[in-house]
Amino acid sequence: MLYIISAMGIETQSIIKYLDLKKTKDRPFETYQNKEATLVISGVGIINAAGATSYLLKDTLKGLNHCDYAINLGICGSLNNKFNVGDLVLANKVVDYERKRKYYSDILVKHNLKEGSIQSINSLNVDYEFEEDLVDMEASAFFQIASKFLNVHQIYVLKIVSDKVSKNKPVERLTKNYIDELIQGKLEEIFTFTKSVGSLLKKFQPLVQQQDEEIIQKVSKSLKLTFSQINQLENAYAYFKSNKKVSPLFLKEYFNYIPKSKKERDAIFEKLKAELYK
Amino acid sequence: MKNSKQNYTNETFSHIYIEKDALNYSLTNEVISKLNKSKIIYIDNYNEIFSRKNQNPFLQKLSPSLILAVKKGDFIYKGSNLCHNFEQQDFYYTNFIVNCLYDCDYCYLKGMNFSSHILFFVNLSDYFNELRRLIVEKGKLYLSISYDSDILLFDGIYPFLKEWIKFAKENPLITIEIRTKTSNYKKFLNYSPIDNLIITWSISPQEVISKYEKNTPSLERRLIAISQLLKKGWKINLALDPILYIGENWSDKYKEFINSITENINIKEINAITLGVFRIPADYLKRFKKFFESSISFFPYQTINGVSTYPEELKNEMIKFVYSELKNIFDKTNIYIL
Repeated sequence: MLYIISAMGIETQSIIKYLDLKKTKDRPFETYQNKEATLVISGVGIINAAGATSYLLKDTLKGLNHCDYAINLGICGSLNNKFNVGDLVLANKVVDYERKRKYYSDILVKHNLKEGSIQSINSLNVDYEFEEDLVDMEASAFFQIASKFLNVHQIYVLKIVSDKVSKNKPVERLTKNYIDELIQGKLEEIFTFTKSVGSLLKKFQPLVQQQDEEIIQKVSKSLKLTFSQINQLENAYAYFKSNKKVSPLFLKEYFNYIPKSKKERDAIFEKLKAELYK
Repeated sequence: MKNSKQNYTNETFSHIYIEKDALNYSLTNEVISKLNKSKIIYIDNYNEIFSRKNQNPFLQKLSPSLILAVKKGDFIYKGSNLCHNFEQQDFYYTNFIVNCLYDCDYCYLKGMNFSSHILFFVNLSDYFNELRRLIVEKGKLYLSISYDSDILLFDGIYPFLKEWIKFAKENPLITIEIRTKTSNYKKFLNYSPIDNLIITWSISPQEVISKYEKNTPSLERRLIAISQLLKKGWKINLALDPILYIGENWSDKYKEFINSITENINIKEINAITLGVFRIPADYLKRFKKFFESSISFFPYQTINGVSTYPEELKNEMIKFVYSELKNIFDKTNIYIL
């Protein structure tokens, strides 16, 4: 599942259309969804971003989350001449400017995007030091909270440069149309990147899948295995699968087998283990 | 799941993370100039990348990044009791490179480190200073310099070999061991052999190499490298370590393997042979199981005093067999068992 978090509704307008997302919730955050993606509009600033990221990812820790990935998508300012207005940039370093904390995506996937660093600030003024390439108000909070749910190769910040920030110039007011056009122009690039990330995650999934866990659970329950025996079964199951490259489906025979005594259970368990280690 | 490189994964070292302090070292510039297509990201401390808990070392193996850092604190460590000490009292190891581009299923680094990214410490001169001090204190030293990486893989971008050879020449009281699986022996031809530098070649049956030592050279290529350097007079050890249980006919495979060694090199010219079965701290094995998918991770090992290895009976049988085969062809006083 792709999770997208953006600060403002106008940043998501063309994304919702492009991905054909349907609105599912209004509160606490406006949420849009289809089978492959969920998008949430957080509101501007770090507190909103942190809250929305947590809300968005709250269920991922419960199940297997190796195919999930999250993206903070939106506009940002440019602090130097490395990037121009309209550039789509993948952040390879995200800095919480006030707290001096730093986050790094593991960019394992091949892509054609520009890369740069971004600092997230608390309030809109230009009194801060220009330490990185870009500036926004959400990325670091998003990254920090997303890191509690996902691994660093599953967390990305993608920003489109909407304006150049200068110490001597007041912050520019941007029109809705202007922002929408900026995002629209980059949709293909954005979703080519997300597709690559999705493919990588799908291709390299862990050895023991959800269906394997179900088999282990059913056998353990029916044979009334002890805690230690369940651990041993998990290990033996993984050994079989890693060696034979298929799941040990013969275990299904034990789904409805109820041993008459502990002695019988232990004997069956030892036999079953020997089969898995063969 | 096959751990193969796909078109959608980045090239090795597509990204270089550089500690700001490391910018003061000429080695940093040398590495960057050799990897001039990589994207550079500046960091304050290598642990910001290397020691993050929420990373997946299995996936990082597909596209490892490089980290350039300055080593602080300890430079030299006492050798682990899980390693061969060649009956040397003052047995130490050091790590100026951490992690490897080879992908061996049994490698303890996969359990020890949170990351599979490659870490270079660029302040080599600090290592040498510490060693000079230690030599004065201890008199004689045995130092392994490649436990935490197959360092010879990197000499093309991090030219450390000439520095260590120079150091070994200047300090005859230190014996330096480089452990490797490489087949690229040619870099040693630029130097004359020295008595206090030993190259230990880690070798395994071809079946083990194909199944469990991904990206490494074949046994044949390793044996060619060994024979070439033996001819040039280099001091070479063989490490038959770890010996792996590879099914019921494991002994036939190991017998065949030992025969192929004797057919391809003059084993009598080897300095020493080390033997040991697969063993690993139990904590490291837990991380193997979490991220890596080799059957090696899931064998029913026995854990004693925090170390997991084959059950005693199997372990003894394996060691006894390989030792008895070797002692027929090699001076048994130079066979070390762990």
